[in-house]
Amino acid sequence: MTTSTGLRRWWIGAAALAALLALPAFASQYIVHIANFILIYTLPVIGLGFLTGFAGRVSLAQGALFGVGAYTTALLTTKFGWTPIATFVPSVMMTVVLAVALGGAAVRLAGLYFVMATIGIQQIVWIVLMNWIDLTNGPQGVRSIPAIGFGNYRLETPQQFYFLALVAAGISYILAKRVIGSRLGLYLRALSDDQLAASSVAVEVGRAKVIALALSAAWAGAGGFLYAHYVRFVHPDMFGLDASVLYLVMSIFGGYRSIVGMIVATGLLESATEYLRPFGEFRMIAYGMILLLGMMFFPKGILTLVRRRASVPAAGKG
Amino acid sequence: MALLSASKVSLAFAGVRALVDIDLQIEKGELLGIIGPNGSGKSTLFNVLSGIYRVDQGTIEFRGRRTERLGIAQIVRSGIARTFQNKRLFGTMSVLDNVVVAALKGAQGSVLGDVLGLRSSAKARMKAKDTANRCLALTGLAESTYLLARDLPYGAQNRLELARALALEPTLLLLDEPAAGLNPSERTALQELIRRIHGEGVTIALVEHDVRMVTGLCARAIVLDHGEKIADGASAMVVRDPRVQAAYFGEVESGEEAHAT
Repeated sequence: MTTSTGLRRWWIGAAALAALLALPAFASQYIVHIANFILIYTLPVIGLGFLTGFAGRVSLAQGALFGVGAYTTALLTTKFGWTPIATFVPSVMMTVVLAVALGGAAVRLAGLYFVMATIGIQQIVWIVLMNWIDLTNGPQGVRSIPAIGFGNYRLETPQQFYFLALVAAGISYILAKRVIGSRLGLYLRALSDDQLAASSVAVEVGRAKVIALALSAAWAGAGGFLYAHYVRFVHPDMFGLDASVLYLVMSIFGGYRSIVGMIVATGLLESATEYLRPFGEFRMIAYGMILLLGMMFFPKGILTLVRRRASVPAAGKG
Repeated sequence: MALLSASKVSLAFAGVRALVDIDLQIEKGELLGIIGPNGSGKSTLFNVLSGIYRVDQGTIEFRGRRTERLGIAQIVRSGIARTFQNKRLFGTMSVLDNVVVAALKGAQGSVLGDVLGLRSSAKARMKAKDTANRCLALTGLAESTYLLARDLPYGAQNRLELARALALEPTLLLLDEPAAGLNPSERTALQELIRRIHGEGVTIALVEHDVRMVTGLCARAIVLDHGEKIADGASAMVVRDPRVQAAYFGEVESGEEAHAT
């Protein structure tokens, strides 16, 4: 990588950050509201990226795991009276434990079997949320989830919530970059290229895949936590198979193994669902066309629009 | 005691006998040749030694430890590295990363340590990078460090397989037809390289179709045919054994037959 592209990247990054910080000052409440959803969704999407982009494992359970995080905090705060902040760690833990318990064996299987298993996990979680009425309120959902507060300051409006979502997405981005630059990240790329060769250089492929699953669940759980305290209402249908499909599309559409690409794709696709509202009942058709054309013309991800990807060696960064 | 000793190793696939009662000793510091016609069980033997296939019967001992039930990664960590006949590189990764993965030897450290950038993590990774660079220099790939593995020319991919196996710092190195597909000058260079690696104290077992390469490199050779070991001894003598001649050069005329086994 030459210094000039490094410098250019730095400028793009700085400009993007400045725009993000200034957004609530000039944008309408509606725009900020959409921005909050985008920022929240980047978490499950990046988490899924660990599994799909790096370990080569396609999961259709990310919506359910996002829901586990959301429901854990929703129930702990409304039924057991916890303060929202205190439920962050339990929400993430719950999601990770459940993902590893249900998917830990399946993630070691060949790709297609794992996809099938994740559809099963997705459905099991949805059915439990819908039918374990004593605990989850079933189809009524959980209402009146408290807003996150710092002292007396409560994050209730989109503008108030925005900076929390921005900081959370920022931390998630930085941590994700460090995860994929870690030894684990290297092992995941190796095993998705050739699993037998990875074993033959002493990589414990089974363990690496389980850790990737746990990390992707952790990101989903953290995203679910934010979502529950922003929307302040949860319902099983928010975390169905269609949500899982959406996160999968977002994590692939942005570009192979590119975290920035995943974030950009989340932004584009989430805002597209809003901007396409004038299309009325044809909205989903237009949405489908965007996806189709995107994958046709930019099979390596929409980020190829703005840059030609040079391969940056992960290990080279010490 | 032998570095590796296999005794009465047998393996069958759906009733077809791939390995039959193989007894094999590899002494420390040796450069052993393994020859035999196509389908004679050479690669199968390597797959058994490296844990990819489980034996049906028999035992394998490496440095005094039974390995026939260990997983692939465990066997690698015990000191056996290998290359593959049909190259199995990490195509989407850089040449350097291909070798760094191996040099890390599966050490997980902690993911958290890497994410937080702890000093011990950085140290382990720097050490792996040094090892990798040394192996790339040895195999003449120092100039190609940042290319993607899949973009390398064929001969260089061959050497990258070798560099990756060396980065595991093996006691025993299994080379599965490393010269396949190389032109004569590349072949000569490879022979030199194998000699150098052997000279540094690595025990090597070399599966090779080319008898001349084996007699040139290896003091001792074994011959497999139909999954059985039919000869074992000084390589120059072994290739003159009438049974070997029949099995080996008979194959040229009746290649179909050898394949059917």
